[in-house]
Amino acid sequence: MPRKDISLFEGVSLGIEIAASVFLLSFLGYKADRLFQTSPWLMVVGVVLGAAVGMWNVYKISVRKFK
Amino acid sequence: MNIFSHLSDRIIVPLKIAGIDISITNEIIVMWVAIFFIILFFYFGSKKTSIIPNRFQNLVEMYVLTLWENIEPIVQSRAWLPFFCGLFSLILFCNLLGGIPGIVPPTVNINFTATLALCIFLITQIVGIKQNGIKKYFLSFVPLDVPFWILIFIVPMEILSQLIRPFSLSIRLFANIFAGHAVTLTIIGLIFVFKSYWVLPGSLIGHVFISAFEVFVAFIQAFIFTFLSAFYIGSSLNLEEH
Repeated sequence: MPRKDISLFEGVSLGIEIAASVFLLSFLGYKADRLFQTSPWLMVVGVVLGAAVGMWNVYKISVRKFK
Repeated sequence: MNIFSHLSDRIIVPLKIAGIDISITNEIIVMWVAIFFIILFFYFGSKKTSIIPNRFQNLVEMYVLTLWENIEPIVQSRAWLPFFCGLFSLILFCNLLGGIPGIVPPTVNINFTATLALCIFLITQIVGIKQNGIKKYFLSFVPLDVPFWILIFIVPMEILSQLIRPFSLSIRLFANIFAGHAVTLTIIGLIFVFKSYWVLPGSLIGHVFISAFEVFVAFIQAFIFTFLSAFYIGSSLNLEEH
């Protein structure tokens, strides 16, 4: 299999990659909010950070795919 | 009646050791049955091997070689073949057993998929550190040719993306298999909701199509899980290439 095609299956699941990072970090933010009584700020940070990490993953996979 | 109760695990043999609940559930038994079938599959496939293979030997050879042709360019070591072959077979056989009516595959349980993903995560880290040394491995999280102020953002994101990998790996397999079974149950459930013979043909035809699609999903999801695991392990083994 050519090196370029290796990330094909990774590309298939890019959507879940973003959703998983947003979901996980916003959930952790929500839990931290309840712990420190800072609602809703840590959850907002979690959502933004999750989206950023998701996009970063997508960027890395895309760069690898189209290199 | 909640039709999704069919997808929940049921305790068959209650067991508790040192306050930890390790009861044998129906899903664990399905997993054992899957392991039994895997052993049978490979035992009879490699029992009487010959240069001109019979049909079953041909099937097993094709199964292993197809998997290995896809995994080999990533991990670049033949030593990993049994591990990935076992991982793929376990997920595939569990998924396929779920196609039998009344059987709940362990892959609809997030605990099973999360355990597999966590094992992959730990293996990735251990193998990466062992192969490259702790310093070189953790330095690989720092991209080259990037201004220092950008590193403040990139390095935490790189570490977070590593930590999110097992989560996305487990969610992907669980969600796909669970969704397939949920759709099947919903389509069958329509018969009981409408209580009409007119719904029956539509439900049955829909069920046949979804079940056929589920077989395809069983293969694809087993392959994606194995492929991504190989990719993660391969990435930590061969740092200079990524």
